[in-house]
Amino acid sequence: MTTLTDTPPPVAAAHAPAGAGLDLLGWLATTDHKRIGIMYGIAALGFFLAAGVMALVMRAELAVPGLQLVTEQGYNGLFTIHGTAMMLLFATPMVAAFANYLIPLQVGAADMVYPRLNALSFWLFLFGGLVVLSGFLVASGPADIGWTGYPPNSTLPYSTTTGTDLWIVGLLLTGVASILGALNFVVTIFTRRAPGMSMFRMPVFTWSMLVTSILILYAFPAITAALIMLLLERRFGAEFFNPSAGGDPVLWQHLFWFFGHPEVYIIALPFFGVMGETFPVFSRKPLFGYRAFVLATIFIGAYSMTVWAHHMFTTGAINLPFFSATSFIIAVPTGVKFFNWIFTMIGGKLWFPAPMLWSVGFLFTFLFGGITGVLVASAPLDFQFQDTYFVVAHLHNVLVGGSVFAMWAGITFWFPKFTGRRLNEPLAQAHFWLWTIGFVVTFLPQYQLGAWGMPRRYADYPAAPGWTELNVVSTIGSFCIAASVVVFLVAVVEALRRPRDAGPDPWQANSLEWWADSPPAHHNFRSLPPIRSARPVFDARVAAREAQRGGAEDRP
Amino acid sequence: MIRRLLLLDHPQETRFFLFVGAFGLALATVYWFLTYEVAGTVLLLGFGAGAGLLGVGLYRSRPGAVRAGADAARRDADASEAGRDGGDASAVDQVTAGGEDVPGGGAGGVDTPFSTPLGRLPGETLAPLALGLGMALGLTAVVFGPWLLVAGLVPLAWGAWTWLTAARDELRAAVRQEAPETAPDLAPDLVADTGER
Amino acid sequence: MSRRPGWRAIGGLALGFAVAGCLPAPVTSQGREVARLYGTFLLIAALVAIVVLGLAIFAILRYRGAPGDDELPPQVHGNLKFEALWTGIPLVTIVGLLVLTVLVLNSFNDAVRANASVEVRVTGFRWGWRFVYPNDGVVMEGIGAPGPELYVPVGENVRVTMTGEDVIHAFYVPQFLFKKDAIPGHENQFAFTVDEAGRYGGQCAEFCGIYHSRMPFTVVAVPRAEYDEWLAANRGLAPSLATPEPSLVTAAPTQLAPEATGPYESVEPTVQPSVTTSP
Repeated sequence: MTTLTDTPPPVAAAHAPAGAGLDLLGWLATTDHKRIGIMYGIAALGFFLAAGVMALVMRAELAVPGLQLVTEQGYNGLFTIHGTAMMLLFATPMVAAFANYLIPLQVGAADMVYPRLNALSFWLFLFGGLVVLSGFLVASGPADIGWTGYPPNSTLPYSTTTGTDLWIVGLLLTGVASILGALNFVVTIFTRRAPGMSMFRMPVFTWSMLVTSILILYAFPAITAALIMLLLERRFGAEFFNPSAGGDPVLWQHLFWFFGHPEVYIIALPFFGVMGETFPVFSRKPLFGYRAFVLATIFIGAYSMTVWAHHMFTTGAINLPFFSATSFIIAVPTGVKFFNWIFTMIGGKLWFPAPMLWSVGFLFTFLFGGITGVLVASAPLDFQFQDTYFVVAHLHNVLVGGSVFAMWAGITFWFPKFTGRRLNEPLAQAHFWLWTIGFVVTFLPQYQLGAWGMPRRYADYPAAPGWTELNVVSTIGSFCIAASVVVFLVAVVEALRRPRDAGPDPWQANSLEWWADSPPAHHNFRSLPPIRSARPVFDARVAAREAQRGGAEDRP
Repeated sequence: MIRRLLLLDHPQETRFFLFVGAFGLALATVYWFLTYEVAGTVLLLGFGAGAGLLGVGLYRSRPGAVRAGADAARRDADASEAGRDGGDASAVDQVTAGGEDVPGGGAGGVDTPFSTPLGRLPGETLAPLALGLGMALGLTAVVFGPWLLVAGLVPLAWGAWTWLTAARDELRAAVRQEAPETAPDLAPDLVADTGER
Repeated sequence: MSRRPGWRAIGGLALGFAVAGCLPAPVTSQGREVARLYGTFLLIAALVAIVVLGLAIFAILRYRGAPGDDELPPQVHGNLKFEALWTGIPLVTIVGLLVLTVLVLNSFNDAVRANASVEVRVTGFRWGWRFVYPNDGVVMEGIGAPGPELYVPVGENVRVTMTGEDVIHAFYVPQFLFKKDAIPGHENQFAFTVDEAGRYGGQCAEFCGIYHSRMPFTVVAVPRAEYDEWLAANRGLAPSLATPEPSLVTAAPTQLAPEATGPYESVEPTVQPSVTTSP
């Protein structure tokens, strides 16, 4: 078993230019958006593995009633750091990884506008993440407050671990990193687009990242403020959340979820954008309803700022119909996207390499996350489901069934671009099937457990009829997921041991990054095709083919 | 007239921020009168005002190329078919870019109204790593004590100094190179400004 | 634990697929409304799933490209009518769902405003509950498992006013299909009417620290006569609120008898509830 702070260095080593060995100083000192993107990705995957191991320990503990593996305090630390790491040290930086690597390429630029700031974002995120995880090394243990950190439970008389302070400090650092990164993305998209690339000719991933970056710019300051308040309260005697001194614990919930719900879309919208790239390529058609897709992205982004308190339905401190209404409304633009993806496939000529398998898998699994989202958006239904395993299953269905499926699609799709090599297709497909089976087996039983009323964040549960069986099933599924990740790592190592053979455009794709070499040269492009649509590389390919045919006809 | 009201003469970028800002302010208003809840209203107002101010900023900085392009597009639209978007003027002639001037664009057609010259891309530097390390150590001092703050100040100071001097040198070089032709108004200020340091 | 784990797992998986999302049988009139609403939502969810998955499966089966086929399919960019259709229909649907939601919420609010024959003040603390009947001079308090009992008469509107003493807790009875937070500095009100006599397990549902999983309680719904007897037997035993002692902070985990936590349905407790009363 890996230790919790392990990041996988072999992959990092293998990404160095062929024959150059490990150019360590070059990586530490880099300002190249591609290298920063890859470092983001590797670090995020490292945190993913660590948080995944925590999840396995928790599932093993929960397999049967009673405490077998960990103490209650240990369990509380595990689910706190698991949630924090998955949301803020894996999913959000993984978004930054894709964005860093792809935005300059997709808009036809040489680099980000602020390359040094970009590097600073990465290092702040990495150090912040390590500070959060370092809670496992201090004597009193990691933060034990849940990833939502609700006061007063997270304030001093109640959470005494040093890990909680480290959690605050670490998240402050990663929050600043996210804000700086988002600023860089917005400015790059606005000022570095190649000639001819109007806003409505941008690839949908870049569009999604634009909206996502705006969300980051307005959501992360809220959590940063809240964390500073919590730190002041714990360390310097402030009383923001202490009701006996005139404070209000619900204020934290407002601030946290004003960040926390947009955060869900911050790690969903970019991956919706990835789906907007893969479905057209593997259907060999343009995205059905490009403009509708973009407008839906903007609407989802805007509405996601107005739904925060649907996490607070049971507090009795908010307006229930308002937040039910705004939460329901988000289903409409999300539905538009679903139909965009499906109608991209209809009438196409589909083929199913690993990225397309992940995309279709995303469609099926994310649908159930979306539907259960409508259920919990109804306040009376949420009164039953709030803080039970139903919500646990729902949020994993959205974040894993949605974002992470799409992330795997993105990784397998752009892997030839990142490394110059294709993944071994049978291994990549085995990864998909193991993951998908594991995912369904893990989270489907949790819906039923939650509907029966099993609360989340319980280290132990009573042996009520059916509970043990479903928990055993869920635990088996989680180990199936772990096995699939091992297969993925094997596939990556296998690919990196081969010579580069992918070529610039292995998928016959559409957007500008496929015009550059694989991996792209230092400042990305030696030339650019004319940009007259959202699919410049497609246009160039068609034009070249027609020129070839025309030439053949001219010279009989 | 409708074009003017919908700001179709303005770039997509501007309309995007104005729309988001208007949405935030409208929802803040609705939210306040439904709930009289302060925290959420302030947050929504901040969201709306923040996006809206950016939109207003872009609106006021509407580049001349956009104005000209939009006028041309309108004439085209009047003459032939209904034009779709001012910022999407496909009438602008495209060239297959090649060679040195490609990265970053900068040609400044109406398709990319806020495009800026590429400037210089920095080479490899350890300054961001040092700065990040310094900030992390310094902030962790809140947990473990002020000695960490001292430990953090060293890389922080070195990183900041290295970064800022490199940026100053690049700015000087860029201004020296571009001052005569491209930025006659801007250049003297910049030179004077950087010269003072 | 007598059967082999493999069979348990297979049985569990089958159970999971067969019943995914079944609610416990509701025992309050409010719970029945929630269950009805849930049924409507599930029906619409099933319709949506059938349409979307049907289309996706159709696309996957029907439009597979042949290997070596180099010709591009027709490059369709969109269809405004379709797009209007799949924006409009969901919009109408969610307006309907919103109306149903608001109707149930209004009926919850009506119950809070209506006359209540029983008033209870509920306080959650680390890690136990205090139930105060201010009009009857009865205080029930319990720490850890099996927790205190909340006696209510069957068929009568019970109004609860709730707060938290230290951190945020949540009052959750699965068979009520309802929970509400107990927040320090806030007073939350809700009302319920239990329709069937019985014992209904409840639990804290908002993470409140190390022994979060060990603060259950039981709602005991009895006929009016029995309820009055119970009140009389307990009246005056605890005229003032007692501060819990010994607190769970100092209690060793093993003292809390986790095996007595009890499943969340109506069962007789094996031991008498640990009611601490301070005369």
